Amino acid sequence: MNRFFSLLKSVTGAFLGVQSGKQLDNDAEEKSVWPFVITGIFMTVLLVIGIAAAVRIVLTNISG
Amino acid sequence: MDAASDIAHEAQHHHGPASGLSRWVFTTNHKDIGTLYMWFSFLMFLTGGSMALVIRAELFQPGLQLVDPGFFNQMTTMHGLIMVFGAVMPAFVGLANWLIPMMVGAPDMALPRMNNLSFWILPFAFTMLLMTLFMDGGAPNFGWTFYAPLSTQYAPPTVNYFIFGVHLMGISSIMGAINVIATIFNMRAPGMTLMKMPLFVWTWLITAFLLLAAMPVLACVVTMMLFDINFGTSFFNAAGGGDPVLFQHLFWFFGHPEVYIMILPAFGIVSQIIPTFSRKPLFGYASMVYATASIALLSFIVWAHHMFTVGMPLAGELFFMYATMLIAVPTGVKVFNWISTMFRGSLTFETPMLFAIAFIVLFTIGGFSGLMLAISPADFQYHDTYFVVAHFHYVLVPGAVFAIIAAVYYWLPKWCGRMYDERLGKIHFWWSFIGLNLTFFPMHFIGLAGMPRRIPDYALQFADFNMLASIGGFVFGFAQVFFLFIVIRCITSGEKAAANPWEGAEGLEWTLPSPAPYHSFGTPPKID
Amino acid sequence: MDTSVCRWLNAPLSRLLQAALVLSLLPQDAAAEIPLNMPVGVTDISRSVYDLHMTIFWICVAIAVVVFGVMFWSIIHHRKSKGAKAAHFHENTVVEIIWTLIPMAILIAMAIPATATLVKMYDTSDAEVDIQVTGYQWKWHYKYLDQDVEFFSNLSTPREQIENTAEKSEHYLLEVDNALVIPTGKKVRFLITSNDVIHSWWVPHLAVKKDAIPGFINESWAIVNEPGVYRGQCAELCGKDHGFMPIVVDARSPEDYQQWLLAKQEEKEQQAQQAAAATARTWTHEELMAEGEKVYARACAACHQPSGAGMPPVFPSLIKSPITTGDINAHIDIVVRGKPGTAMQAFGNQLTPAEVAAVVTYERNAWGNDTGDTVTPTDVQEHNAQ
Repeated sequence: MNRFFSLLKSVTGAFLGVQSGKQLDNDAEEKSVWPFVITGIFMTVLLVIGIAAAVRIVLTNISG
Repeated sequence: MDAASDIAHEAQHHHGPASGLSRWVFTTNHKDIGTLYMWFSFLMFLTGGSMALVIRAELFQPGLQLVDPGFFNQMTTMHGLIMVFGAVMPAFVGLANWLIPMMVGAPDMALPRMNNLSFWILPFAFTMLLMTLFMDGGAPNFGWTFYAPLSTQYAPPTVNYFIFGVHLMGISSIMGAINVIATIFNMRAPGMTLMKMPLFVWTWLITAFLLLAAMPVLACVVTMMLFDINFGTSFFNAAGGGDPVLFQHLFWFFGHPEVYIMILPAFGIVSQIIPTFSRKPLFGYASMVYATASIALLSFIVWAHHMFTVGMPLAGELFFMYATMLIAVPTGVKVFNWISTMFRGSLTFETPMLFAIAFIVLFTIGGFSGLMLAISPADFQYHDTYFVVAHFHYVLVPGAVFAIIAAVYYWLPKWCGRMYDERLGKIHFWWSFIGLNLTFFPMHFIGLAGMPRRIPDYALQFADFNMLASIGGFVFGFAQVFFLFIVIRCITSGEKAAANPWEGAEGLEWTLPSPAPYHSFGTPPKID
Repeated sequence: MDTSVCRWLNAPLSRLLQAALVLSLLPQDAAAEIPLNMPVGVTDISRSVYDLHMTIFWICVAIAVVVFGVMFWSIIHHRKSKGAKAAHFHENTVVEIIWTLIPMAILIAMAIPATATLVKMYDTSDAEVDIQVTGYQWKWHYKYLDQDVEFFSNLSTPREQIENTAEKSEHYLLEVDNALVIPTGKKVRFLITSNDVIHSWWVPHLAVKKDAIPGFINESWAIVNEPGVYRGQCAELCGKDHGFMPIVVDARSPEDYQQWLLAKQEEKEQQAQQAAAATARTWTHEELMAEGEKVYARACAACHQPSGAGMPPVFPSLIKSPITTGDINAHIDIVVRGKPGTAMQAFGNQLTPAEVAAVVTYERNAWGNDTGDTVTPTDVQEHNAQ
């Protein structure tokens, strides 16, 4: 679980463009890049859903 | 580590380069192939550049003077295609070939024979494309974005050569990308962990994945065109149940990542040069790596901001506007990082640094106009005008092209063992800088005032700024001929360069002697 | 030729001086002559678009001042030649988070008015006038739905001005033979489509730009506040004469608009009568040739060239071609019905039978084709009836 949060933190940091050396050292202990890639794609999908939801909220507020 | 003994050691086991033409045709050496790529790219840069000068000469004054509108369209199309696929992309692959093995401590690229093939495809691809200029019906004339049905039903017959040319370029790029990935994943010296890699290597790794994901989409699009034109399908023909807008979605799904393919390695180059001449480590290395990766992912969800005027539903319009505004943030963060690197450094201004600083300033201006273009309602006024032309030239010329020039000045001592003339380099910089701004800055004004792009003749109120832009275009163009002179002079008669000619440079490539030996790192270096 | 080269070399100097002047003085006074910015326009929408444009512009300027300020501060003060010693900080998460959040907040603040404007632009309901706009290579066709008025709108700048043998007029390349007339103060909806390739209908003062896509109908609208003539151009590359298909919108008061509509309908009846008369009367070969030359210059010369040589293979040559020297009926047919999937449009609804007869006669006898054929309007009518 901790590992998952660490991954999540790391990828969120990437999306914002902020990352610390400490986090980097943490990540470096990860043996494979795939967890990052998968989390990254997962977060991208989340972002798409998030923006789509924002658009939907905007549209319902306007018509309703 | 002792580089000199490495070389003595290697000399016993390796032969030097073959002599004559066969050296270049059969070479599998990453340095030779890198050199081939660079010269090819420069040749294409001059070719595409002279086409741009034909365009600028025609636009010097209102009225048709030099070329007819049909040929003008061929020039805009070929200029775009050649600059994107022939100049910028091969230059980056050339830099990758030269630098990545030296930067990660590898003896060569992982797949040397494929490396040879991926280069030698290119001259054929571009010969095929350029040949169309002399054929019946002329070269492709539908813009480098080749929107259907102008590029299918209404295209000149030479469009088939264009399609095969694009396929070949795509194959070459994909092979290059595979090679980069294989090299970085398998050939790093012991101790060179991913997070110790120089930023140029990182950005190229991410670019390579982008290439792998984007180029097949382009291949699909041109294949669908091929079928529409020759085999009676109707992918993009509304009368046959197809959809011309589908073409644009597919094209820009490739096209937007392509934009990042052309800029990410430039980010890498600038991230190498700025710390060197600031004598200070890169601010936020980790942030830069992660932000590059996220920009690459996000570049796949913003493509339709190139298509705000096609009549998307409101929801689509809003989605792509929001997504585009968000993607600006990690890009902006990179600029902040470079500036923080310079802040409280100990700066000197050799030619590579001048080009790198100009990159930051002018790329940021291009980023600002990009931000303006992201605002969809305002984009209705900007779209397909000279404002867009100004925007992407600010991103690509001082962006990609300046970064490549900076890289050449920066690593030239390593490549040929001689220094360029610093005074001439500075002249080249200011000459290019002035020419570039004279060319592209006025385009913002004429675009806002209402001049559409890709027109051979224009209304009188646009005349003055077009004239300025044309003069600037020629100034900039001749500056690049001067660049050729500087490089040749450096290669033939420059002063001998030290192994590390830059006081603040760090990285494995600088531990090798200058010029770098034909075979380097036969024994992997030790990295602490 | 000599004179045009002369002018080509001479005029630039004065223009260059003028441009230098514009750049040295601040834009303010010169702005009237040489536009530097987006027009504010004449609709509420165009005004809010302009406001958005200026807001985001000033935001960019503000960010630029800060970012470049820090940069030039470093360039000036932290140079080695001034004895600057490099500091060694290379990371600060707090600073990084701050400089991420600020732009994000600015962007969200920017997204709100942008969304509001966009939503208004997309509300095409309750239009009082509907006009179908169709892009053709290389002209526009306007059809007033419910009014039985439709016409083509062609570039009216003479060829000589484009080829630099005549002085360029004030609205060079931005003038048409038939402007689109719309009423002020009423919601006019544009239904935009295309007959061949993708075009884009753009009038900056209305802040309307919509792609004209074959097989699709896009909607846009405008309520023009002030009467006047507003000029735009095709904005999407659509082939050879992409730069030569302007748009002119003539906004008139509702009364004037009504009058214009009536006049237009009357004119249409007259034209129909004239066309009928022209079809009925007998034409001599010479009359047909003279008329045909005019029609050819207007409708055909853009592609097939005044010389008839075309630009093969896309625009075939008409000189001694199988069409112009072969079967007359096939010749009439390709003019009237066009050739689907190519730039050859169907001219049946653009030209009267007399005009078709004239142009076919002309093409069969000009440029040394010399078939001696005479095609009469009756021939064309009979062909059409088939």
